[in-house]
Amino acid sequence: MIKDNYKFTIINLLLVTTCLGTVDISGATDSRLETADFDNYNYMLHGAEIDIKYTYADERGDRLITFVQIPYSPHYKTDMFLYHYGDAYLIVKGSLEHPNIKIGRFDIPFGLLKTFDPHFSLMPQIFERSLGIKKDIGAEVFGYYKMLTYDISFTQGYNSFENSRNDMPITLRLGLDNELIKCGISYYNSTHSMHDMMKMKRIGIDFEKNINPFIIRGEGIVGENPAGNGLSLMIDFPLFFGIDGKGAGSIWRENTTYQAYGLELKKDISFLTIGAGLVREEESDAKTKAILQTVIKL
Amino acid sequence: MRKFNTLFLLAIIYSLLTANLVIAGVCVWRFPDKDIKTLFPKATGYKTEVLTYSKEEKVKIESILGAKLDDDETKFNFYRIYKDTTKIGLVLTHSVKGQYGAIEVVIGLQNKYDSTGEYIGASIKNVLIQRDREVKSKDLRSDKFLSQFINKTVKSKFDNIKLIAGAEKSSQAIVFSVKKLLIVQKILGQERMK
Repeated sequence: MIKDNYKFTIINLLLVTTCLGTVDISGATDSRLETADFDNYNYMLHGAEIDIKYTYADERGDRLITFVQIPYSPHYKTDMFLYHYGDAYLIVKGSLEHPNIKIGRFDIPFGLLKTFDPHFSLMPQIFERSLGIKKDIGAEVFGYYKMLTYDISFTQGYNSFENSRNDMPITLRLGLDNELIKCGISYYNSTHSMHDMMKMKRIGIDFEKNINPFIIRGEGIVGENPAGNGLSLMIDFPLFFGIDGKGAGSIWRENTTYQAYGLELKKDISFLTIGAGLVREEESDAKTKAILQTVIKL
Repeated sequence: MRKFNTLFLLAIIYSLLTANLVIAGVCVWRFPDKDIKTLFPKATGYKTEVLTYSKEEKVKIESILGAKLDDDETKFNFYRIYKDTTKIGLVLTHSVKGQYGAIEVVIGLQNKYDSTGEYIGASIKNVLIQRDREVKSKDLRSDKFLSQFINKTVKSKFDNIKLIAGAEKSSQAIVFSVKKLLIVQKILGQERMK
């Protein structure tokens, strides 16, 4: 079901996209060698993707942007893979300082998902536990006014992680974006008249602050149905020889308490990024993962 | 189901075959709607163009610059700025390595005319830093440093730019980046229009 919805969205967008002007194509592969508790080694093509972007402009400027990501992985379980990959959307661009409309499959605008793309990150992200959803099919209105940014999205909720309860979610985020700090407050409500008992609500506060050479990002989330609360914090820092480091930790309390923390190091060499990470996750049991990663971007 | 998969595959192939393709990475303009008001307060919109270069154009750019283009620098985004339906400027972006990681530079260009009114090329209207992790970020983003670029053209001298004390490497990287964008604009934008 998810798979067909997703393919249908891509077909529609490709047909809209073809092909009156320049199409911007990029791509990436993300390969990972993982070992859990330093026991078995497991190689995974985490994802290969072709990203196609087309912009239509009239005599006053850009009006329509379509973006389609064609992803592939032979190793990922299909549903899980599509939670993380497969953006396919169309943006109807308003004039400057006017609202824009996004239709298709995209990251819902909750918390750090709006300002930080964890696509190639080796660190566990809190949204898997707190929201149980990342990408979804629907519509979003977004824009900015002076230093404020705003987003409101209405989506299906079909692209939820296993065991999470998302039904026709509405997501709102109001943000402040200036040179001192980026921050925002988000609200998520999966409403559906048929399933009133299952309404999941989340409120989050997120921020990104440069204390150069460090970048600190964090978010705090509380909610009900199921009741839960949590925090996450990430710090980016430069090391020697052009190596970038990231330390991250998160905690989510629901029926049980989930904690994860780790460290990743990355080095860019032209088209190639080499990464190494160490991640410890604790819930009913604890496991430590070591990960080697290569990302090739074209 | 099989029919659906075939249709899916055909749509992808058709789209790729009919497209005018530009492949590879580029430094994106992260906050266009915000920056545009700083660079061109009268602007009402912008149009994105992705430009690649030929072998001959690459040689020209590198010879004027006196340095090689990076391997992943295979295309440049040109953002043409409009006031209603009139072009009033151009914005270019570039990512360069500073002391503590990438510095992303945004330059706004306007047309420059000589005393007789003849067009002599593009000159810098303003320069912004959209992202950096430099310890001396405040100084590098200051008007005192960035205003030194205003009115520079591809023919201008850049060795009179006063670098930020304690951030010489990063200041130099920004100077290099601005110079590179002016050359790219001349070769890919200006010369192609001839």
